[in-house]
Amino acid sequence: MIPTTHYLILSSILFSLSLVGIILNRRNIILLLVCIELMLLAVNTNFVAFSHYYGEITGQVFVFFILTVAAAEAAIGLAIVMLLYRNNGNIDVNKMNHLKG
Amino acid sequence: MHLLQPQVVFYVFAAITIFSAFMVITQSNPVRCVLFLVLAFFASSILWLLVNAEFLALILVLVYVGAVMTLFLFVVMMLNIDIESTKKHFLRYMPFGLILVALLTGILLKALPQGIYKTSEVLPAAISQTETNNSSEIVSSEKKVSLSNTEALGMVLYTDYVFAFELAAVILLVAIIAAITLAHRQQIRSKRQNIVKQIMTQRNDRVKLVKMKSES
Repeated sequence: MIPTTHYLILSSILFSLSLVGIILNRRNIILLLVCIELMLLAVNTNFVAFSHYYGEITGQVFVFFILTVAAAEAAIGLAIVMLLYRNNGNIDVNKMNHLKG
Repeated sequence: MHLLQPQVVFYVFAAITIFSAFMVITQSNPVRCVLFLVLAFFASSILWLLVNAEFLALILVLVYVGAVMTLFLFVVMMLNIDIESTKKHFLRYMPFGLILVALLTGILLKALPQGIYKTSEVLPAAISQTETNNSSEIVSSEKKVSLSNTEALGMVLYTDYVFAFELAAVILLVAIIAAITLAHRQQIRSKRQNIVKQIMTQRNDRVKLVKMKSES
């Protein structure tokens, strides 16, 4: 069977790819949300692999809750994106400087 | 031969997952980006099936790909975003990004303890698979085998984690209310009746008597 280490390598590659996606992408806020989803997928893969390794079902319960929270986050985030597009006419991250922070 | 089969499946779908994650962060078109994310979810649900998380793999396909990604696609297609401006910016920073990926992965792998997670054997299952003459262990192992993944998850979820489960339901309710409140637009052409205005209206507002001569 597959060693647990390989699952950990896979999820660390996924996590760092999505983190770099967040860092490099400065234009489109939807791509930021997509990268966050990818990050949560990497974390969930870790949870599932460890759940199998230890023979405990608890890790999968946590994945269940992470999926719930991620669905809520996606819904609210997309609603905010819609509102932003309606007010500004674009969803460029660089142009969100109304507060002049 | 059949021992080699799960490993082949794992490496093929791990490669598909990493490829589609790479395409997600390099694509400039958001629609294509979300579609590659869907591919990543499908591939990793198969990876979850390999470690006996059947319920979560199906939930990932049904709920995530079926609902959340559809929501993403709807929003991406509703907003028209200029695609061309994003591409040039990305290609310039691409080598920097790849170096950063290698660095982060190296750090994360360095943080793993050496030699602990090399095996894939489940620890309690490995104990129960060994032939023991103790009859009570055989009974317990049979009881463990008879539970499917969904049943085992439900047994834990509705007993130990029932409070967290209810909190998750409340979070979903809050998300519904928040999303509707944020995205709802006041209807301009609505014909809804205003009850207060109807009750408070006076006779003078509506009826006007006009005196005019009768035509003979």
